[in-house]
Amino acid sequence: MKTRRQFILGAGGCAACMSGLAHSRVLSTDLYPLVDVGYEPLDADERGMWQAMQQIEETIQASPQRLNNPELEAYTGGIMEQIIGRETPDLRLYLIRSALFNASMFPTGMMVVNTGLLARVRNEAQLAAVIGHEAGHYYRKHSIERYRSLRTRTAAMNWFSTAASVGAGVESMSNYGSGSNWIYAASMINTAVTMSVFQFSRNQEEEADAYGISLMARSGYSLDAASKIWAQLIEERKASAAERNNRYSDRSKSALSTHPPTEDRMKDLADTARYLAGKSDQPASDRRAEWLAAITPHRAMLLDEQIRLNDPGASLYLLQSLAQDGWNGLLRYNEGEVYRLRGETGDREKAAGAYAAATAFPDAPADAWRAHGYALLKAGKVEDGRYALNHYLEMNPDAKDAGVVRFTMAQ
Amino acid sequence: MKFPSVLATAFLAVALTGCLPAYKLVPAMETPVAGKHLFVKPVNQWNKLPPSPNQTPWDETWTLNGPLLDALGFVGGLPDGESLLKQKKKENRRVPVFHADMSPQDLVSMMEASYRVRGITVFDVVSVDPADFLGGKGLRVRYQYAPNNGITRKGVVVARVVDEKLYVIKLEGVASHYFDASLPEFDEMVESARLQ
Repeated sequence: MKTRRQFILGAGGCAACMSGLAHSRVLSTDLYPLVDVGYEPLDADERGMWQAMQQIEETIQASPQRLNNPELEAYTGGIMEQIIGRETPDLRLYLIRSALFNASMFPTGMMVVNTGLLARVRNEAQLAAVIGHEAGHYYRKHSIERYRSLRTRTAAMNWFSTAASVGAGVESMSNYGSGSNWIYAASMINTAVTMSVFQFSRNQEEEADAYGISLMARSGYSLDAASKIWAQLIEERKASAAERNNRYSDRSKSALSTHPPTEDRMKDLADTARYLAGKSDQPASDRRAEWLAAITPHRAMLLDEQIRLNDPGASLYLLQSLAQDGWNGLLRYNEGEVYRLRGETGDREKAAGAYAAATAFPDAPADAWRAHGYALLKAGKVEDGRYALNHYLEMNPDAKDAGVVRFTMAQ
Repeated sequence: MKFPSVLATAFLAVALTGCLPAYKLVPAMETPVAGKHLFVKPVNQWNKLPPSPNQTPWDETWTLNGPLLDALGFVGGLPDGESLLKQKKKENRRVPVFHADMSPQDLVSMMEASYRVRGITVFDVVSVDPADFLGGKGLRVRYQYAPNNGITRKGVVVARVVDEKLYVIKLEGVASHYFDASLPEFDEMVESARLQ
């Protein structure tokens, strides 16, 4: 059987071993790192790219979008060291407040992970899969390969060099990569050139997937986590489109996409996970308890970022996924917010019901009481509404809207 | 053949220049904005932005130093059921729609959502207070946000629903200098604004 695998099999790899890997393009074993700690750029091309990237890193360090949270940074940095298997002074991970599902790797070892990704992953193994994938881009030197390829193909286009130095150097996790803040310059690339380059990038994405899953395998993470991320994302996008009576379409199927089609990618990762799991007798864990302990204190912020995108299908999918562990005050409050922001016929009642349910939980946030209060006032239940608003002010005496809430209560 | 092609180029250049939307100077005197009903008295001469394809009949924007640095926005009577953003059919994010019976919380959410649906994640409401506007009590909202260019912007909105229509004056600008520089004039304009 002919497979689409493009990388040389190591001593352990053989045709017979690949029978369970019909979809996989890249073998995860034998992908060794091409850079080590202390790596320095080798030539003028690479040095120029590094200088541009260092400027971007300084911008990110000072960006108001950066999530400066030492606990989360330490936690995500710990995952990185866990999968690399050593301390990682060569990799620097920044958390960025962007509601989009995305992570990016820069050629200098700077990794960017969006809060929109943290909102969606369900356990530590899934985050490890993303970090491993991005680290794969760095350790396999994808950026400089792509940069040189672009330069060769665009030698006649002087104006292009700046865009290429920024755009080509960044590898992005998202299938919506062009929407990322940091790689906007890539959109300046001439379409014809882009078409010829993006297939090259797809191969790199496949290699990074394979590299990432091999890192997970040796650090004891459940390997099926990588494919589950994509399964969740497909489900969410279907729910988002269905809500608007739109048809789900995978943009990464486009010839312009830098990424492999999402479903192919999911199948490849699942195949590889089964293959590697079959070769290992080590226990594997998704480390969900550790993930929940780290992320629960930030769940309110992460949900707020998603719900206020006003994509009701995606928001309800996310909430219902999280509620598989049981509803609580925070989730019910955000469910009410989805309905209130959607504002369709019947949503006012649905929102009111969700707020009422939220305030019955001991963990109901103060904002749930405010929303409950306003919903009661709209329903003509003035005394109950004032009681709820008063409860909101008691819980949050320094509320930013305390003035207008008191004004409303006095009416 | 050369001469006619030069002529054609010149003609095209003139035609294109004629098509370019232009800023218009707004005199420092009482003037109607965003329709015929809302009147304001600017102290400075502002520049009215040319209409954009996404602009609705109910909004208008001015600037003193360019919209990237400062912008003064007006909504002159948005009717119930309408929005200041256009909903694209293929877009799964919903643009916020105004309803005349919105609570203060709803109005703040609507204003915030108009930024969030356009990809702004870092958006903080600084304060929400009652405010005198157009002869009654309205809402004054202070906020700040981080656009994707990384330069923090501050904003203030004063809004009130009159006869089931939304009236708004909004100042927004780069947090360093430009917002604060125009805030006194904004406050004067809010105080002197009237409906006719």
